Amino acid sequence: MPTFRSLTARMTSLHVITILITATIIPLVLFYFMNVAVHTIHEQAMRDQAEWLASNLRRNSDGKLDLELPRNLKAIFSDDYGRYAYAVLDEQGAPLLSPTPYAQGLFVSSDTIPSGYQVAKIGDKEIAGVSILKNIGDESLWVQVGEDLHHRDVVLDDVVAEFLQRVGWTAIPVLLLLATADILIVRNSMQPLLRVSTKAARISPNRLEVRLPVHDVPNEILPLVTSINQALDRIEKGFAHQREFIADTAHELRTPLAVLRARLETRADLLPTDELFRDVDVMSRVIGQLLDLAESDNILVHASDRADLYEVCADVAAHIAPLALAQDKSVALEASGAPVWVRGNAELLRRAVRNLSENALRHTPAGSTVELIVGSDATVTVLDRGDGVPVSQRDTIFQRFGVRDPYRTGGAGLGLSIVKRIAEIHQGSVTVDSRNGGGAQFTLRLVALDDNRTASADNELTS
Amino acid sequence: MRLLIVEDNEQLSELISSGLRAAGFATDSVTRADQALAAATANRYAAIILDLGLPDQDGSSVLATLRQAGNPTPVLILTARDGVDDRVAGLRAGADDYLVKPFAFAELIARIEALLRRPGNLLGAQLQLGDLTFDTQSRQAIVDGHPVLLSVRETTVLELLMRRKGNVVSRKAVEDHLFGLGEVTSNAAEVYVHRLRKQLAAAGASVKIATMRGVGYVMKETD
Repeated sequence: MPTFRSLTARMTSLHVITILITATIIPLVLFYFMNVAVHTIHEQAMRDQAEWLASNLRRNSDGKLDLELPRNLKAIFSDDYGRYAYAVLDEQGAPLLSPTPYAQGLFVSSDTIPSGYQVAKIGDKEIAGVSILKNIGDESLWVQVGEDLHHRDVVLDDVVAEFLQRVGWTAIPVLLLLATADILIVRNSMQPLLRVSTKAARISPNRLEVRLPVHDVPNEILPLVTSINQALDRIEKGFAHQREFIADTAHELRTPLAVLRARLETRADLLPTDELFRDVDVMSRVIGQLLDLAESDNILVHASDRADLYEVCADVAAHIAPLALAQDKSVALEASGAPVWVRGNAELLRRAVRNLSENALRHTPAGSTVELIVGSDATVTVLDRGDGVPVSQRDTIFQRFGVRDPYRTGGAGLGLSIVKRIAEIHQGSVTVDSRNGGGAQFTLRLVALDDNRTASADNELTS
Repeated sequence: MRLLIVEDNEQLSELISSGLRAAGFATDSVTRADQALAAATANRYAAIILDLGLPDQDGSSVLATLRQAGNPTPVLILTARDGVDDRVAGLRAGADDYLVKPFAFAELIARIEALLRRPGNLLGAQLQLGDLTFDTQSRQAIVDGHPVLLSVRETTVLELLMRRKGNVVSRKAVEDHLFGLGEVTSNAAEVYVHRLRKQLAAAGASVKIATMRGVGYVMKETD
C-alpha cells in the first residue's frame, strides 16, 4: 500500500480499491446462490417427472415391465428430441428399462445407486437429474430422470451463465461513476481543510496577527486549528510584553541619566564636566544600543513594509554630517538619486546604516571622508580610511560585544551586531572587506523590490 | 514667553525649568496628563515640553486631545522612548519635534527656539551665528555691525542655511527655494552657495559653509 501525501489521493484510492473488491465479490456470491437455486428448482422438476414416470410404470401380465407414456411425454423423452433421458433399474442397479444410449442407467457408481441430484457424463451429453426408489406393485425399482444440460433449450442455466458477462459489463460504468462521485465527495469534504491550510501558509514570522478561520472547520481538525491560534496568541502577547518591557526599561534607565546630565550642566563651574559628559554619553550610548538590540530581536518586518534605501542613506548622511564636521571629517553620499525600493522597515534600516556610518566616522582619520554608496541593486557600501578590519576579526566584530573597547572607539561593541541583526530580519546580510588604498568597506545587502524600475520611471514622469 | 513642562520625574522637571528660566523663559510645571490638559487649555503657552511616560495617561493621548481641540501650541516631545515606531507615532500625533533623553541643554534650547521661530510663532526676527546676524523681517545680513550686500537669491540661500545652522541643508532644498524665485539651472545651488561663501568671506564673517558631496551644505561657526 503506497502512502500518499495527499489525503484526497489516499481516500480516493482506498475507495476505488474497496469498490473493485466489492464489485468482484458480489457477482461471484450472486452467481453461487443462483446456481444453488437453479439446481434446487431443477432437482424438484426432475423428481416430479420421475414420480410421474413411476406412476405410468406397470408389470404386465407376462411379467415384463411396461411404460405407457402419453403421446406428448413420449415426444420429449424420445431420442430424436434428445433433451430428457430416463432409466428404470432394479433395486440392485441392474437396468430393466432404458433407451439405447443409457443402457446402463443414468446415474450408476460401481454397484450402488446414488440418491439425490446428480450430474453424469454419458457420451457427449451432460445429464443432470435424480434417482428415486419407488414401489411398483410389490417390488422396489429405481426410476431415474435426467436432462441434458448442453441442450440449447435449457434456459435456466443460460441465465446463470450469462449473468456474469452481462452484469459484469454493466458494473464497469457504474463503478466509474461511483469512483468519480467519490473523488468529488472527498474533494468537497476537504475544502474547509484546504482553506485553513491556505491561510496557515500566509502566517510567517512577520505576520503574527493572522489567525486561522475556525468557522466551517470540520470537528476533527478544530482542536488543531484552535491550538495553533492559541499558540499564535501567546507568541503575539510575548512580543507585546517584550516591547512594553523595553519601553519601560528605556524610561527607567534614561530618565535618571537625563537627571544626571542636567545636574552636571548646572555645576559646570565646579566639576570636570567634559569628562563627565563623555561618561554620560558613553552610558546613554550603551543603553541606546542595548535597547536597539533588544528591539531588533523583537520586531517584525511586515511583508508589505517598503523603504527607499536612497532616502534612508540621505537621511543618515545628513544626520552624521554635523558630527563629522565637528571632527574635521567629511561625509559623501554617492547615488543616482532615484529611489531604491527595498523590502523593509525604514527606521530599522536607518539604524543599520547609522551604526555603520558612525562606526566608519569613529575609525576614519581627521581630514578624510566617510563615503556612503547606494547601489541600485539594494546595497549600501560604507567606506572609511581607518585601519581596516583584520581578516581574523571579520566575523567576531559582528558578534555582540565583539569589540571590547567602548572607550577607545566610543562604541559599546554592539553597533555592528545591531547591523547584522537588522540585516538578518530583512533577509539581507552585512560583510566587511578591506578597501583599496586602506580602510574598511562594509556592505549591507538587502532585498530589492521589483518596482524599482517602474518607480524610477514614475519619478521621472512626475518631476 | 511661557513654556509648559509636562514631566512626571520631579527632579528632572525642576532641572529643566531652572535651565529654561536661566535661558530667559518663564515655565509652568505639571506631572500628570490631566493637569497638563487643564493648564494647556487655560493658558496660552509658547510651547509645551511633553514627556510620554506619564502616570495617569500616555503623553501622546494628551497631544491628541490638544490637537483635536484645535490647540496649535508647538509641542516638543521629550522622552526616553526611541523605539522604531515611537518617533513616527509622536510626529503623527501632532508633535513638532522629538528629543530623546538624556539630552544636552543647548540642544533642548536650540530646538525650542527653532519651534518658536516657525511661521506664526513669536520668536525669531533675528538669526545668529558667530558674528553674523540675519534679520528675517528686513532680510538684512549683518557682520559685526556692518551690513553685507547680498542679492535676493544669495539672501534666500543664507536664510535657509542660518535657519538650519549646524545641520545639513540638502542641495535639493536649496534648489527648491531658488526655484520659487524662477531659477531652474541644474547647478544653481552650487553657484549661489559659492557666491554667498565668497561674499561672507569678503565681509570677514566667522562662519563657513561646508559642502558634503551628495549630502548637502552645513553652515557653522569657524573655530
